[in-house]
Amino acid sequence: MKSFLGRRILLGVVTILATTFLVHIALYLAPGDPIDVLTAGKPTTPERLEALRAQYHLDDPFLTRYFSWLGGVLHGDFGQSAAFNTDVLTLLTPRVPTTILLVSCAFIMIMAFGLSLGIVAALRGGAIDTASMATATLVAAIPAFVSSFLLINVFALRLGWLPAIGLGDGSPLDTARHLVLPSVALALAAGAFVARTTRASVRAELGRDHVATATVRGIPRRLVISRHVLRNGLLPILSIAGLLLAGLIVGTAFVEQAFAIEGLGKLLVTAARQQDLAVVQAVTLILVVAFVVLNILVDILYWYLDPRVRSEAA
Amino acid sequence: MTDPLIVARNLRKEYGDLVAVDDVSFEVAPGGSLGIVGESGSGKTTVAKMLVGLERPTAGRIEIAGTDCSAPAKGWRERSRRAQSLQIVFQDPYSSLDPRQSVGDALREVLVVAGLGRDRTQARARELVDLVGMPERVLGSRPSALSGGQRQRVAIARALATEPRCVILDESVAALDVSIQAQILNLLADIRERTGVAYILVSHDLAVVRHVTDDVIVMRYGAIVERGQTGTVLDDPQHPYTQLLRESVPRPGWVPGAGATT
Amino acid sequence: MSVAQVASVVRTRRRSRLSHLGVIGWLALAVIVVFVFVAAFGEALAPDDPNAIDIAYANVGPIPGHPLGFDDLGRDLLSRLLVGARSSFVGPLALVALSTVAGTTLALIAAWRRGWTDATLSAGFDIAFAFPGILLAILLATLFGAGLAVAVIALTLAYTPSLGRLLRATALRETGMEYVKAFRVMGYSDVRIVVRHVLPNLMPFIIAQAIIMFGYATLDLGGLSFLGLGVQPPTADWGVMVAAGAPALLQGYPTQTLAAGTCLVLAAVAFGVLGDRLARMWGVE
Ligand SMILES: Nc1ncnc2c1ncn2[C@@H]1O[C@H](COP(=O)(O)OP(=O)(O)O)[C@@H](O)[C@H]1O
Ligand SMILES: [Mg+2]
Repeated sequence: MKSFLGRRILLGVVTILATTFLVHIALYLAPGDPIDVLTAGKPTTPERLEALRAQYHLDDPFLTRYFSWLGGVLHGDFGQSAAFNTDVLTLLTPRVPTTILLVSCAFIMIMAFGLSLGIVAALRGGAIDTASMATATLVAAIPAFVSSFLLINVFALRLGWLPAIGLGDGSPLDTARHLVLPSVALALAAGAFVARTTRASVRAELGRDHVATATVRGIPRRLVISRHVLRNGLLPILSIAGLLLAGLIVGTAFVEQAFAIEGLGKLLVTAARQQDLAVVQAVTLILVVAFVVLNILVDILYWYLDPRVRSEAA
Repeated sequence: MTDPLIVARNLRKEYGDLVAVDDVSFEVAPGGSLGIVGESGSGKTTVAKMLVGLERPTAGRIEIAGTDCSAPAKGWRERSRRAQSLQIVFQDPYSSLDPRQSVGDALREVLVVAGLGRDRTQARARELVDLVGMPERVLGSRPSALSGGQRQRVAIARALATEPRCVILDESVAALDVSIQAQILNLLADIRERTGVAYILVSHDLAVVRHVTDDVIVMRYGAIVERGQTGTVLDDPQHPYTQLLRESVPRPGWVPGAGATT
Repeated sequence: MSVAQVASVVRTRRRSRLSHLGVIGWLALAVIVVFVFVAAFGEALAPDDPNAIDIAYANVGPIPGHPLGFDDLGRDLLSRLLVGARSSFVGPLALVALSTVAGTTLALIAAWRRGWTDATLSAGFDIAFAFPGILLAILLATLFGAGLAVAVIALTLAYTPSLGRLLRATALRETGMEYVKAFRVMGYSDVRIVVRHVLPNLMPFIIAQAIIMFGYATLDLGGLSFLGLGVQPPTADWGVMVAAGAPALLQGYPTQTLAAGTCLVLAAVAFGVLGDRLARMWGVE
């Protein structure tokens, strides 16, 4: 276990470091003087220019520049935003919890609905199976930036059940009400994908010899299913969970934009449009770190649940 | 005696820790024929691949028609020069032809690559299908329309297209029904009489080698355990392994379980 | 039947007819044909000038001659949808073409050279595969400015390894076939073997994958245009229209956003289904 975990974490750290490096040199890949890139071409006071030069150590040799910048980042010093005229950290602080909340809600929905739909379709078969899988195939093709507006139009505007945009007045109940539609929008396509994957793998598991043997041996179907079929059938879902989470994290850019939610995703898009590199660098780093950490967690979970992987790693 | 056409000296091939071929030497005279027998995994295919330049020997030397061919050809010029001396027909009739290419196209392409003028390829392709005993209309057929035996005939025709001085047949009849095997072996003997081509016939089946080759080497675990004239070796094997091989071949009067088990 | 024979049957099945597409496959093909036609002749088909602004008609619903009504600036919606097909497909076309050529080339090199070339390329595919394409597009848009070209290049960098990864496995199998070895012994050049024999045999797989990829490309580029990082307004483009119609949608005029969104989804589904069916028909799933 230790060596497996160690290797996995090492790989994660390497990925993150590589990303910081790429994100940092991005500054020098852009056309023009780095200082112009950092000010997004806007007229700037000499004091701010000085501050930028210091923040990015523009007068130092390259590697020094990179490590000083990285050191700052590790201390939460992401520099100044050219577009918002403020500390990048000030921009990040309120937005991180919002986005975490959104992604968590969506993830729970995906797992709850995607898995159960897939299992029911696989076990029941027949018309339920056909209908739910056809629906899932269609839904899986609806991107978040389209489903968001469908949901707003139907459930907020036509039916008036839920608020359309924003996050409300901040009270827990109001926040929850505001979070429903964006979470669903973020979860829909991925949930449909999970449903299809679940169904396929449970189906495959049902057809395996040892399941037939267990049934013949007179073990009750309920037990066979919960012990053999679901346990093995759900493992493949875990192996796509990493990609799924990456999709969710990036998906917040679309959903927050559509629902006018002030989270990291919307911040990223706004900053990109204004070519505000410091902000984009910071958000990209946060997203990649989140992505890597979540992937490590998924791998550890997989390791615990799948004896085959465990014996291989040992 | 004339100079040998193919000389293999102390060939050795290692795959990691596994020694697939260990100190194998033999010669094939122009127009001669050599059988290589041994059970599956004894290193026969590896020897064949080294001869045609698909594998690089770990050690040893190969000479073909007086030139050093120990290492795989560098560049396609050398490759196509070597192609004029030595050709190979593989075991699997189902994957040894490009599924998209008709028999005629396959034959014409070899001829064009070998430098035959385009105006003469058609006539030569007809000659070739005739040589392997097939009707001219197969020129228009795709491999998928042919049986295993027919495909193997096409593969033989393709190998003979550029009139190489020697052809290696690596288990080329093993995948076929016994009656078809006999047809192809007769065909090979017939072709040899007509063209004077030399053969290296690789097989795990002694009966196959007996019909076509003058000399034989017996391989086991990558090394040669016995060699000599085919008739002598097969009728009066000296090495216990050869005896074992011979006895494991079902023949009239064979009783299940009475022969050696391999 | 031996393994080889089974493989051979599978290979023959590739030659099966289009009639094996099934009803759904044909439907998808029909939708694609219509979309391609509209993308080619959108201007001629449009009943009205797609860029003629008339604030008096802002968000007006269907009236005779304007079956879908007008957008937030009083432009004819149907005309904008028809004209927008081209811009919505040109990007994906470039993206799919570039990444198919690049991915195929890299996969063939990896499969042909094997050894460390293959190991290096595969490792590169795996690393690049893990980095989300949209994030890369956002990063590049920040550096070079938002636009369709930048979005296409960024996504090409993301799509190439994912196709390369898929194709490498198939190409390895194909280059291991005995006909490839036979051609080498017969003195064919590497280029001839790969270009004239291996590549054509991989074409069914490549075409099916490219069509599936086209579906994803439509959505990804549409999404970037929606974010303001792809096609730029006032160009009529479905992704741009989804975003442009959002304020009107909140005021109860959802037609522009939903119509443009439906076009994107329909296109994505059609390409996905067709690619899937072709792959199944040719036995190259
Ligand atoms: N490319 C390879 N890599 C590793 N081992 C190989 C390779 N090719 C053959 N071998 C091994 O070399 C030995 C000889 O194989 P081969 O020459 O194919 O035997 P034969 O043709 O007599 O059946 C076998 O043990 C086989 O597993
Ligand atoms: Mg062999």
